[in-house]
Amino acid sequence: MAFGTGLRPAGGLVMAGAGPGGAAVSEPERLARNKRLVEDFLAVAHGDLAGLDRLGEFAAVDYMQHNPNIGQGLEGLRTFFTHILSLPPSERLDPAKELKVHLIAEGDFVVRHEIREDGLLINVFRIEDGLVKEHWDAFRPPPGGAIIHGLE
Amino acid sequence: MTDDASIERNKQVVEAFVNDVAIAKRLDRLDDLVAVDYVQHNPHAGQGREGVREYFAGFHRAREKDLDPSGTIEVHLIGEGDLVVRHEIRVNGLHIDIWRVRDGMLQEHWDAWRSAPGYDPPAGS
Repeated sequence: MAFGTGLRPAGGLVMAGAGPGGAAVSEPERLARNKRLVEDFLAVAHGDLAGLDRLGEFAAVDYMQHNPNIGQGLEGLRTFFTHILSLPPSERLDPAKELKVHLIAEGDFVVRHEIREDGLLINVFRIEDGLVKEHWDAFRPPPGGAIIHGLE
Repeated sequence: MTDDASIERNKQVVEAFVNDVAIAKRLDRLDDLVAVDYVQHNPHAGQGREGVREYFAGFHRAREKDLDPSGTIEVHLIGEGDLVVRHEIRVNGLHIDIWRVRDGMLQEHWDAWRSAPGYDPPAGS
């Protein structure tokens, strides 16, 4: 069995692509941009209904979703987050229970590692052409705890 | 900022642990790969290096079928700083491990599992 490795830069300042105006982007800057993309995407997704119109600024039209509770594509995201926003706070992830978040970025991946009082939530995003293109997630409830709605 | 060489070294420690300990059950390798005060966030495993030893010697055997390498579709290792993520896509679900690695040893571990639709989660997942 072979282990695949995430795409990895060959060295420190690899010119990984062109930024705005054609300037070359270093790999550290590219990874920082990918992390900001994920943060901005999640801020909009968990913001307000009007903001959901902006999801297309962050996620691809053909977004590939591996959470079976969420439909495919940008439309699947819109439907899911519209639903989440309609729920009472008791049925949503409580921001106050978030203890620590790590963003781990390499190659085309950004992993969001969220340590909470009510469990551990790991999201893996693949970035393509400056947009979030693919998503996986897994949740570990606390011992004896329930799985939060939408994370089953 | 961590350089690429140290990320690569951290990934090698993770791969050695998975191959030698988790798959090959070579518990003698634990002393070289896992810190004695390993912090474990999987509630089904005990703390420290000894917790890992007990887990793979006993309880883990019950889950072997669910985590057998023959069920692995794809693995991505994603590393930054002192953290390495192992993202394993399997036929029966998704297994994500995150390790903190320092000085060539695994220091801390978190993991989560998502069953494929219709598959019961492994006991102790």
